[in-house]
Amino acid sequence: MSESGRTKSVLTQSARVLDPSLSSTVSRTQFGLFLRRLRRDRLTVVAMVVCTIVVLGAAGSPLLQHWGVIDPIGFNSELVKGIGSLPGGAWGGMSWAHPLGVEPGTGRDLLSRIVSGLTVSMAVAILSSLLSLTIGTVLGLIAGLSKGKVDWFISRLIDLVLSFPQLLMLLTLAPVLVGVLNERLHIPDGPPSQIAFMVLVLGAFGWPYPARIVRGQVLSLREREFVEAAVSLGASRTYLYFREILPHLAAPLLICATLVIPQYIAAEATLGFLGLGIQAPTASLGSILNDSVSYASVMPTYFLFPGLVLAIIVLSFNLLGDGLRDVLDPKDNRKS
Amino acid sequence: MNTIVAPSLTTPSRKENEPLLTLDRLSVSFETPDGTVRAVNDVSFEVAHGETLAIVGESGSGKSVTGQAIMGLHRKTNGTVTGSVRFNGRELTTMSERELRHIRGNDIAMVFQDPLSAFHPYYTIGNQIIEAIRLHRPVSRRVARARAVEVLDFVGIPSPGTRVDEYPHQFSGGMRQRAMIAMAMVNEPKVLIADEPTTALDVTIQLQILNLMVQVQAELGTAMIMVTHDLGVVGEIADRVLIMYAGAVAEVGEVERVIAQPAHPYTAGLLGSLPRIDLPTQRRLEAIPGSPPSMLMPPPGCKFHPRCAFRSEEAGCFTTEPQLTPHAEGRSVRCFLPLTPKTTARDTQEPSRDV
Amino acid sequence: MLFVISIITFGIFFAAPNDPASLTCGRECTVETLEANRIAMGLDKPITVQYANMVKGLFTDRYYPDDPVLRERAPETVVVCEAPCLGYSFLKQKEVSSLVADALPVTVSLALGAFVLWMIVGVGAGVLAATRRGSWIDRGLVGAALIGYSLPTFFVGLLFLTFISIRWGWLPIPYYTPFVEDPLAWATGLILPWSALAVVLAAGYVRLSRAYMIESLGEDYIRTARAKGVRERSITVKHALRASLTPVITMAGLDLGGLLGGMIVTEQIFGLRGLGQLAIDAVTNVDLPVIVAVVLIAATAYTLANLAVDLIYGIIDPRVRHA
Repeated sequence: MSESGRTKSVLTQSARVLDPSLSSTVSRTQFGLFLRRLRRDRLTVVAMVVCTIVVLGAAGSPLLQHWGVIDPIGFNSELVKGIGSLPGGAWGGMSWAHPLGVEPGTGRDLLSRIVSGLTVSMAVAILSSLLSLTIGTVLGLIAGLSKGKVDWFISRLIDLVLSFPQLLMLLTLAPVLVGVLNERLHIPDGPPSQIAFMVLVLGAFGWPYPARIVRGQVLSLREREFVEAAVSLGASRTYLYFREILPHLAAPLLICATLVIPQYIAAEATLGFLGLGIQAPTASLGSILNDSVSYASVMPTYFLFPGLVLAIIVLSFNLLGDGLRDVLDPKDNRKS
Repeated sequence: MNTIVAPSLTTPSRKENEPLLTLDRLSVSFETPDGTVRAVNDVSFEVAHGETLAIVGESGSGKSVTGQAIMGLHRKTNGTVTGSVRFNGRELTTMSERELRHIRGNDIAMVFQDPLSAFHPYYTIGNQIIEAIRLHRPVSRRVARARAVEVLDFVGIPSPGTRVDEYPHQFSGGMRQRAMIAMAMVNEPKVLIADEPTTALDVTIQLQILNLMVQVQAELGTAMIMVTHDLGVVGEIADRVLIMYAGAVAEVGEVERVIAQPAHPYTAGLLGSLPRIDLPTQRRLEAIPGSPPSMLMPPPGCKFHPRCAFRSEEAGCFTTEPQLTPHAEGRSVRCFLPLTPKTTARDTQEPSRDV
Repeated sequence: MLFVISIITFGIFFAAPNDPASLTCGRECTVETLEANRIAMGLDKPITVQYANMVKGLFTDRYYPDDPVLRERAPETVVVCEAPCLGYSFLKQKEVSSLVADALPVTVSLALGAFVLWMIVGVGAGVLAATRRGSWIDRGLVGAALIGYSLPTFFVGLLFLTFISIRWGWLPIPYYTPFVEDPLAWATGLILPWSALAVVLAAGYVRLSRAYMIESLGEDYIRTARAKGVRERSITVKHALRASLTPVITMAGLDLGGLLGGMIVTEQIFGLRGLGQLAIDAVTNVDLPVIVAVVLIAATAYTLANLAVDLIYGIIDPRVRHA
C-alpha cells in the first residue's frame, strides 16, 4: 500500500470511528432506532399518511380529471337556481354526486375543484420550498464555512430580507413581476406566470430561514470533535465539506422542508384570498377561497370546506415535521 | 479525622439512641422511553448526629440519585421512590410537599456538584442566599442580607459586603462553590448532603473546599453525606464509607478498615486505580476492566461479575445475586467471595496502609 | 438598513409597468394632461432626483406640485408639506403623513391588543403545559396549539366574523372607535380581530414557552431551588419562567415587528381602515409615496422591536449586561 493510500485509509477509518453518521454499524442501529421511535409515534404516522395522500392526490388530479372522476370545470346550472344563484338544498347543495356541495353561480362541483386545486397549491409550495432551501443551503454553507467578511455580509442580507414586510412586498411585486415573467421570459400569461411568480417571490423571501439553520449547523459542526479529528489527520477541504459536513445537514434540512412546505401552502392560500396569485378559472386552494369570500355569510360551507382541507394539510405537514424532528434529533426532544 | 460533636447547636432528637437519618431499602427507578431504569436498589444506611458518611461509586452507580432522593427531589420528575427515609423520627418519603418544604434547606441542605449551573444565572448570589433564609426564617430582607454577608465571610469570600450583590458568573469556580456552601449552611441544617462538591473544580481548589466543608461541619455540628467518586478524599474526611455499584450497596463500613482491608473486589479495584504517594514501592495503577453495566439491562447474577477478577461459577456469581451480608465488625459486603488479607495479597495491589 | 429598504422599494416601483400618472388622469385623459400630471407629480425627473427629493423631504418642507413653473402658474393649488414630509398622495389629494396619521392608531390598537392577548394566552398555556407535563391538560394544550399554528390568519378571521358576529350575533361586527373617545367601545369593537390574531399567534408561544420551560425546569438551579425549599409556584414563575423568557421575547419581537402581514389580512377581513388597508389601496393604485411610507413604517417597527428585544435581554439576563 502506498504511503498516501495508507494515510487516507487511516483517515477514513478514524473519521468513521468518530463520526456517528459514517459508521455503517452505528448507522444501521440508528436507523433501527429511527424506525422504532417512528412506530411508537402514531400521530406522526397518521400525518405521514395524510401527507402522502395529499401529494398523490395533487399529482394524480389531472389524471382523475382526464378519466372523468372529478370535474372541476363543468357547470351544473340546474343546481343553482335559488336566490342570488345560491345552490338549492341544505349545506351548499350537498348530495351524493356533489359530496361537498357546488359553487354558487356556476354549480361547479366543490370537491372536484378542491382536488384539482391541490395540484397548483402543492406545486407552488414544493417548488418554492425547493428554491428557498437551495438558496438557503448554498448561502448558509458559504456563510458558515467562510466566516469573516462574507459571513457578515450574508448575515446582514438575511436581516435585510427578514425586515421587509413580506406580504406587502408580495403585493407590490405582483403586477411588476408577473408582467416581467410574461413579457421578457415569454412564460405564458395566466396560471404559468402566476405560479412562476409565486414560486420566485416565496423562494426569494423564504431562504433566510434555512440559511440560518444551515449556517448554525455548519458553525457548530466545525467545532465538533470528528471534524477536528479529520482536520488533524490532514483531510482536504473538499473532503471535509462533502464527507463530514453535508451528511449532517440532511436531517435538519429534511425537517426544515416539512416545516416550510405548510407555510407555503398557507401563503399561497393567503395570497389567493387577497386576490393575488392564481386567478380563476384555474383552481387552487387560494383561488377557491378567494371566490368563496363574498359568499361567506350566506353560504359558509363554501369557504369552510376548502379552509378545513387547507388546515388539515398544513396541520399534517406540521405534525410530520415535528415528528421527524423528534425522531431524527432526540437532543431536541420537544414533545412530551 | 474524628467525628465532631457539637451538641450546643443541634437540637436533641426525641430518642437519643435513634440515628438522625435512616434509609431503609430505598429504591429509585425512572421510566424512560427505552424501559425502566433502576437507578437505586434497596439502599439502606444510617447517619448519626455529626457523623460523616461518604458514598463512593463510579458515574451512574446511583450515588447522586440516592443523595437527592433523601430530600424527595425526584418527586417532580418521572422517578418512582420506594422504601423509607426517616429523619429525626419522621418519614420523609410519604410526607406532604408542604411539610417537606420546611425540611429542605432548613434541616437538610445540599451542596451540588457544579456551582455554575446550580446557581440561578439571573439572580445575585446575595439574593439567592436571602431567598434561602427568608423561606425558613421570618426575618426582614435587611436582616437576611446581613446574615448572607456573614456566611459569605465565614466561607472565606473576600469583601463579602460587595460580592453579595454580584452574579454567579462574576465569581470564580472555587468562590462559587464557597458561596454554594454558604447558602447550604445558612440555616444551620442538621444534615448536609454534598453531591460531588469538588468534581467540577480545579485540583488546587478541591482541597480548600474539602477543608471548608470540614470547617463548616465543625462549626455547625451537622451530619454530612459526602457523595464522591474519589476514594482518595474519603479517608481524609469521612467516618464511614458506603461503596455503591450499579445502584446497590457493594460494601459499607468504617473508612479506615474499608480502605485498609477492602472486602469487595470492586472496592479493591477502586483503591487499586488510585494514585498513592503514601506507598513506598513503585507500582502500576490498575484500572478496573470493562465499564459499569447498563442500568436498563443489568447483567444476571452479581452485577459486578463481568468485571470481577475473582468471580467463580461454583459460588454462583454468574447466576445468583449476592445479598449484603455482615462481614466483620460494623461492616457488610455484597459478595459471595469477600476478600481476605490472603486473597488481596494475591492481587497486585498493596491494600495495607500506614494510618 | 432603513436606507437600503427605501432604495429597494423605490427601485421596484420604478420598474412597475403601470404609470401612476395615468391613474390620476381620469377618463378623458389627453396626452397633455397626462404629461402635466407627470410633471406635477415629479415623475418627469430621473429616479435618483426623485429619491433625493423624497429623502430631502424628511428634513425640509416640500411643495406640491413638484415643479416651480406649475406652482407659479397656479399658486392657489400649492400644497405645503411640512418636514418631516413623507410625500403627497395625488390620488387621494392628501399628504401621506395625514393618511398615515389616520390609519396608524387603528393598526397600533389592533397590534397591541392582539399582542397582549396572545402573549398572556400563549405563554400562560405554555407554562401550564410544561408544569403539567404528560397530563391530559398538557396534551390538550399542545394539540390545540398545533391546530392554531396550522390555521391561516384569514381563515380564522373569516370563521370568527361569519359565525360569531354575523350568524350568532355574539359580538358586534368589528368597528374602530378611538380609545380616547370610548375605551369600552374601542375594546368591544376590536375584540374579535384581536382574538383572531391571537388564536394563530399564541399557538407558537405555547409550543415555544412550553419547550423552554421544560428545558429550564430540568436545569440544575431548579433542583437547587427545590433543595432550598422554594414552593412550586415560585419555582415556576421566579426561577424557571424568567430563565425561559429570552427566546420567548426574541420571538415576540420578531412577531410584533413583522405583524404588518397579519394586519393586511385582518384589516381586510374585518373592514378596518388601518395601515394594511392603506397599503392595499396604495398597491392597487400604484400610489408610490404611500407605499414607500408604509414599507418604511413596517421596517422601522421591525427594527425598533429588535432593539427593544436587545434592551430587554439586558434587563432579564445579567450576563448580557456585564458582557
